Amino acid sequence: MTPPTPSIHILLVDDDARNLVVLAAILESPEYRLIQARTADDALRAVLTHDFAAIVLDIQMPDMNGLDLAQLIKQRKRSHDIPIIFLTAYLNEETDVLRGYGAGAVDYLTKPVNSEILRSKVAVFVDLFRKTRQLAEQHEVVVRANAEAQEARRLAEARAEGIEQASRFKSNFLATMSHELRTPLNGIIGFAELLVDERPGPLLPKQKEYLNDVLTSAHHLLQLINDVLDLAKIEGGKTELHPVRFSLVGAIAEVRTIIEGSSRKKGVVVRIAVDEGLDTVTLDPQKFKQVLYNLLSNAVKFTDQGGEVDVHACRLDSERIAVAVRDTGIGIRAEDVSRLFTEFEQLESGTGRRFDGTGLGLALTKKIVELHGGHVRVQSEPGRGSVFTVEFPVPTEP
Amino acid sequence: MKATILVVEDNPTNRKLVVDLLRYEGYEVVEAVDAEVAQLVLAGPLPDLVLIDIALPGMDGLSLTRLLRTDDRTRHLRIVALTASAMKGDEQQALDVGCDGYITKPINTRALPALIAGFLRNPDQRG
Repeated sequence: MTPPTPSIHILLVDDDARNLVVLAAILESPEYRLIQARTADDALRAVLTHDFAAIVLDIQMPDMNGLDLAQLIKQRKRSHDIPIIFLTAYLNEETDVLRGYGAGAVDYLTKPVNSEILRSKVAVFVDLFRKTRQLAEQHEVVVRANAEAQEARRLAEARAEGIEQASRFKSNFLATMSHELRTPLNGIIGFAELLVDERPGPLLPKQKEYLNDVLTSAHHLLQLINDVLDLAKIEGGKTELHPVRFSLVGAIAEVRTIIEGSSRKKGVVVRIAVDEGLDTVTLDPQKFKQVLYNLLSNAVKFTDQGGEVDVHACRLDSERIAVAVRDTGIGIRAEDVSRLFTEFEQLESGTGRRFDGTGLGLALTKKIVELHGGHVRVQSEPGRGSVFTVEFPVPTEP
Repeated sequence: MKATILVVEDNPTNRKLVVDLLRYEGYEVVEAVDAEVAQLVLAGPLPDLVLIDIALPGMDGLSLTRLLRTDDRTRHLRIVALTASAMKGDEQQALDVGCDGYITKPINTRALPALIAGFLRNPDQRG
């Protein structure tokens, strides 16, 4: 159902009832609502209660001054813009005065009124009125839409700030928590080590075994806390990189030494190849080693007895180097690759085995590499092995 | 004769761990819970090495070291800072105020003995 078209009000002013009947007869139309006024008071009251598209006003009225009435109408803000069509017996200086109110807003017709001309003049003003009203409505729509958009933006900004604040709080909280958790853990690890090393005296084999279990769990917990702290620092924007020039092969060999214990236990061979011209690089050495440690320990962890792990460092172009860690391990299904770098996601191995680990290593690795402005890539084939490649921006040195 | 080591550390568990470990290594160990007690101890016979925790309540380890370096009697004491590795910059600050070196916490009971022996062997690592 379409809403009814708002009616167009036209005010007819004449002190002579017969003239009003004539004017009304001329302008009679289903589109118009004709309001008739025989006195200045009636006319002003009507102006206050309706929005008129036009006023038809007879100047020569014995009992009232049409000119004064016109001036009163024009002085009021509400009715200032209503066009007035004057009906006058002859053109005289009075109509000249009225022109001062502005072209278009005032018009006049000589009597006897030509009904065609009156109708067409009124039609022009009605058309103008309609267009003005439409424009005002459109303006209102725009204003409302604008206000809504502003409100939406304010809400979005407030929400974003809230989220940012919560995220900062979370990062700070985690950083503090991790630090506080580490202190008592150091006591647990330290005293357990003293016992396992039989400093106070000899232990029974079972006692030693259980204490080693305590140590393994405590080290796992410590690693978890350290990873959480590192993640929180990176997410809180508190991680500073300290790039210095260091030996790439030296750093890789150092990391290999750290994981040597576990690789030897599994009989996994770790080989290192560094391309010529890549003797030194300028990166944060601690962070680089942390990344490599994560990738290398993963590679060893997921590679079966007698498997191989290759570390290959090469220059990609004048701006980037890549370090690829290739293993002959269990591999990763294509649909699981995207979840690899999510916190606390350790993929189902498919063989029902569970692997040690914090579930934070790869998430952290990705963040550290990206902090350097680099990328991590994975290629994998289930059952055949995986290649994790990290790219770092390292421009060639002159 | 075994060397004497003064351990300045406020956390009782951490202190006990270091003190017991050093005793197992055969050192004479003296304990102090804060900078004030450390100064009282150092008014007596001087130890061969002082291990100072940087984060002490009251006067911190850095201020204590600075103070000891201004006194002719303790100017040449071997001082090693215990720093929390999480707090970046502690190490450089420790060296800046005149520590001969630093050991990062958490202490590794299996590595600490060799580090301590190293500091005792080289009387002046500051160059």
